[in-house]
Amino acid sequence: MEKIKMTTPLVEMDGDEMTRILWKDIKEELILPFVDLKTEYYDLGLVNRDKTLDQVTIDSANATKKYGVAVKCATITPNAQRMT
Amino acid sequence: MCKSTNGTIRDILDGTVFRAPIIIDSVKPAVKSWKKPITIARHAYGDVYKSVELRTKGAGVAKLVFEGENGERQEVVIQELKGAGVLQGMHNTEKSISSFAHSCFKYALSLKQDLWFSTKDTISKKYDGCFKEIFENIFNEYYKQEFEKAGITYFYTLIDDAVARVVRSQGGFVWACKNYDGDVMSDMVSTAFGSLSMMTSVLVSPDGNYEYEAAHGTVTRHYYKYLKGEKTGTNPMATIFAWSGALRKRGELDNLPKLIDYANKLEKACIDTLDAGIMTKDLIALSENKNTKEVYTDEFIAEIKSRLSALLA
Repeated sequence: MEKIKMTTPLVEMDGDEMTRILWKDIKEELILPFVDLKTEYYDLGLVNRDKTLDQVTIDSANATKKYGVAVKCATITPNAQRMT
Repeated sequence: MCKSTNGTIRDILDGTVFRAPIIIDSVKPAVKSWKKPITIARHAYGDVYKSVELRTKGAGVAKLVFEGENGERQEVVIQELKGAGVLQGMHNTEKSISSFAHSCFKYALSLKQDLWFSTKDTISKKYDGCFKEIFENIFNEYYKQEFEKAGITYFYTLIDDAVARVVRSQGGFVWACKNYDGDVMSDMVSTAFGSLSMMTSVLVSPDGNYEYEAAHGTVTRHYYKYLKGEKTGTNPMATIFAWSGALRKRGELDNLPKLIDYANKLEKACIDTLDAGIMTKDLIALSENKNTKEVYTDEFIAEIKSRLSALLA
C-alpha cells in the first residue's frame, strides 16, 4: 500500500516517562506504516529541556507559529497533574 | 526546575486550552442525558489566579484605586469595615479577553458546534460585563456570518443558568468559561464523562495555530513498573487522539483528503477496538460491557493496528 503523503511538517514535541514510551509505540505501529510522516522534531523531555535551559520549548512554540499545527506528548512539570 | 512546558507554550502562542472527552458506548456518563462531548474552554489568564489579598485586623475603609499613566484617577470605596475582614483585588485585560474570544469562536467554527459563554454580569456589571461585551462585539464584527453559514450559534447566558442547561443538555457544544469557572467545571465535566485517560486537549491561538495533546500527565506509576521490566496496561487513547487530531488539522489546512481520511479511520479503529470490549484496565473498571478483555498496551495497539489496516485497505 502506498503511504499517505504530507506537504507541511507537523511540529512534534516529545515528552517524558510512560507517555514517551507510548509516543514511540504509537508512531511506529499506528502512523509510520501508513503515513509518509513529516515532522519537525523537538525533544521536550526533561533532560533536554534542562540541557537547553528550556530553549527547546521556546523553539517548539515558535515552530508551531510557523507551521500552524503541533502534537505534544505529556511532559513532567513542577506541578504535574498525574494520571493515576 | 524550569517553568511548565505548557505554560511556556501557552504564553508564546497566547492560546486557549480546549478539553474534550473521547466517548465510547460502554462507558456511560454520570449525567444520563449526555450523548455527545462537551468541550470546555478555560480562559487561562488573570482573575483570582493573579490576585492580591489582604486580611485586616480591625475596622477601616477599603478602597479600590487606579492611577493612570495619563493622570486619570479612579477611586471607589469597597467597604467601610466595622471589624476585621478580608479583601481581594484582581484584574483582567481587554487584550487577553479578546484573544480568548477569538480562540473560542475559531474553535467552535472548526468543530461546527455551538459556542456557549457564561459569566455573572448581572452582579458583576463592569468586570463580567466587560467579558460579555467583548465577546458580543467580536462575534458581531468577525464571526456572525461564518457562524450562520456553518449553521451554529453563539449563546450567552448567566453562569447559573448555563450550569443548569449543561446538565439537561445532550452535549455537543463548546462551553467558554472564565478562569475560575473553567477550573471547576472542567473537573466536573471530565469526571462525569468517565476518565482523564480519555480526555483530549487542544491549545488554540487567536491567530489560528493548534497544539494537540492528551489532557493527562506522564503516568509515572506505570513508568516505574516499565523500568522494572513489567508490562503495563497504559491507556494510549488520548495520546493517539492527539496525533489523529493534529494530522486531521494538517490535512484540512493543506487540503489533503487522504490524510483526513486516515485520521478519521485511526480514531474509528480505536473506538471499534473498545466497542469490541478490548480495553486497558482503567476502562474495564468503568465499562458496562459484560464481555471485556483486559489487555496490555502493546496488545491494545496491535488490535487497533489490525482494524486500521482493514479500514485503510
